[in-house]
Amino acid sequence: MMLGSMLIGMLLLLAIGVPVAVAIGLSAVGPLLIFSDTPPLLIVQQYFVALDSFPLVAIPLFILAGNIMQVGGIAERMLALAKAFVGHLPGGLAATCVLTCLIFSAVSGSSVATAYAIGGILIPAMVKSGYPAGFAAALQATSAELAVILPPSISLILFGISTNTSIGDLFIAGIGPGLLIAAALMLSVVLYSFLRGYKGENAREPIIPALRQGIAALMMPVIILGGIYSGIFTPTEAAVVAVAYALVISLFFYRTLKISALWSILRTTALSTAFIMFTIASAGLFSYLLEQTGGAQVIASWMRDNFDHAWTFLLAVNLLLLVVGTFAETAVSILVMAPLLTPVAVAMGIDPVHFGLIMVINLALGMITPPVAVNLFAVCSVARIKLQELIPYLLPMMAVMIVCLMIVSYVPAISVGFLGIMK
Amino acid sequence: MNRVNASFLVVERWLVSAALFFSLVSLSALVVCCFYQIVSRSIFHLPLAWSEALVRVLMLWSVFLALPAAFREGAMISIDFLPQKLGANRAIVVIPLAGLSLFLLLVLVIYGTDILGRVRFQKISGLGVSMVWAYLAIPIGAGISALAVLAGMLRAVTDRRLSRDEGVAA
Repeated sequence: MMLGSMLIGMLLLLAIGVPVAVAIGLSAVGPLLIFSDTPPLLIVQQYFVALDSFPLVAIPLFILAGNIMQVGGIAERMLALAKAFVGHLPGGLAATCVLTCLIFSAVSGSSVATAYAIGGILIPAMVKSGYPAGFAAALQATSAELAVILPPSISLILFGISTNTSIGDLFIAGIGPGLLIAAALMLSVVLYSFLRGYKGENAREPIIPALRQGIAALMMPVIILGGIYSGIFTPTEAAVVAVAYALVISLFFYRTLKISALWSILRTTALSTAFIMFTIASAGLFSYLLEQTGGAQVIASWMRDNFDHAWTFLLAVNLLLLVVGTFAETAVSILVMAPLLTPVAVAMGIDPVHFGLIMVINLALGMITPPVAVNLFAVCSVARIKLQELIPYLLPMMAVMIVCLMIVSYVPAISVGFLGIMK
Repeated sequence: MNRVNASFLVVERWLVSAALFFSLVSLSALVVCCFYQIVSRSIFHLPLAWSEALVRVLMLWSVFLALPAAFREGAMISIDFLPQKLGANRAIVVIPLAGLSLFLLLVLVIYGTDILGRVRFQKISGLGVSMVWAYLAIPIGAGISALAVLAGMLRAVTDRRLSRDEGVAA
């Protein structure tokens, strides 16, 4: 009764347009007040416990670092760098879009932020060079997913926290799949552009000056990963170092950031943090009740009974998450599903770090599948087009993503292989 | 709009801005504190016992004090496919949705106030102050958010009344 009303309630509330965080909160609070004799003080306690975590502080800090980089004009420098490398290829600007997203992903943990930051510059530029707006928007939405796969990904931090998996390991394991997806996308757009006759940029820009301008930004992931891996700091501390680094380079190295802009950067950061954290707190209560009512165990044991091989289990998980990712918001999907599925995966001999990457790539794919497709909404608002205009261009890109997902699922070396080298 | 409503909206706007101001102060303090923690440990070799606890409390305040502004400015993401179809600005769509948010926020205000008495004598480990200082963020943030949501409902109703009056005038 309780389990059913929680799940149906959540879907119903989401469908009628209640804010995501509120929908999850209500679908836990409602059944708790009506059906259960759990003391209601527990509601507030769970909201508190869910947020009272030091690793979680990495999220607002990485959002802040990304925002500083963005306002500090770092996106333009990354774009210039990417263009110097791939701009001359057929469909040069399209390839530049993928590569810029790849570089920007190394400083941003949110794909929506990446879609706005890079899309704001590249979509108009691509349209101006004669690409269809739908193509530009679809490519931007797909490439922006790299931000949640490569470190510092907010989704990977959430997975690490909710399953007690090392965030540092997850970050490292994200590199391989991120590069694989970027390469696959780049290859596809170059091939597609060659067939359609989209030209590259005429004047080839010199690489060295662009590299000199972009190098400071490229150092950021080195500092973050190096710091975490050498044991100098925790992921949260790495995030604050990222903030300090972003401030120093945009204030003193590039000199593109004014002190007066800091207040509005903090404001943007606080607002998106409030949304994410309130969602996390609501999901905390929801998962707690799911555990309490035995719902979690029912689902887990059903899975254990019905899938006897790791590969059929992974296939089922991929299908399930594709469906979930289509409807639910990523943070929620991770916070609710990861604690349920990861123990089953581990029991089947799947590395939890590998499993985390599979989940995150899956849910990233959900960000570009309607109806709940945050990336698509972002690029549609940037490109000022309707959703249906980009769908025909989106489908082949989704196919590329799905192929990559399958490769990552069945070739663990791509994700966890890097760990072996680092350790 | 009558005078009571108008002054309510003024108070609400003032409270939401004040809360956001303190949220940003908490966020800045959090960054400084977290940075000081690293400097102290890795440069001065003095690990701090209180910084992680303080950072967690600051984050809680920063989140809950920015919540009213997030509700007010529509930063709370929703799936607005259905509301868009029905007319996202119509009072008949806005009010029931806002009512649901209001309910959750009131639950947090009521039990959030209730729990303060229970945690009064617990101490935040590392800081040595009462847990009330951490928990207090929840009822205060949820309370101001409730006012912000209520103000949104009020605006939706009065806007509709305005447009109907204009219709009559035309």
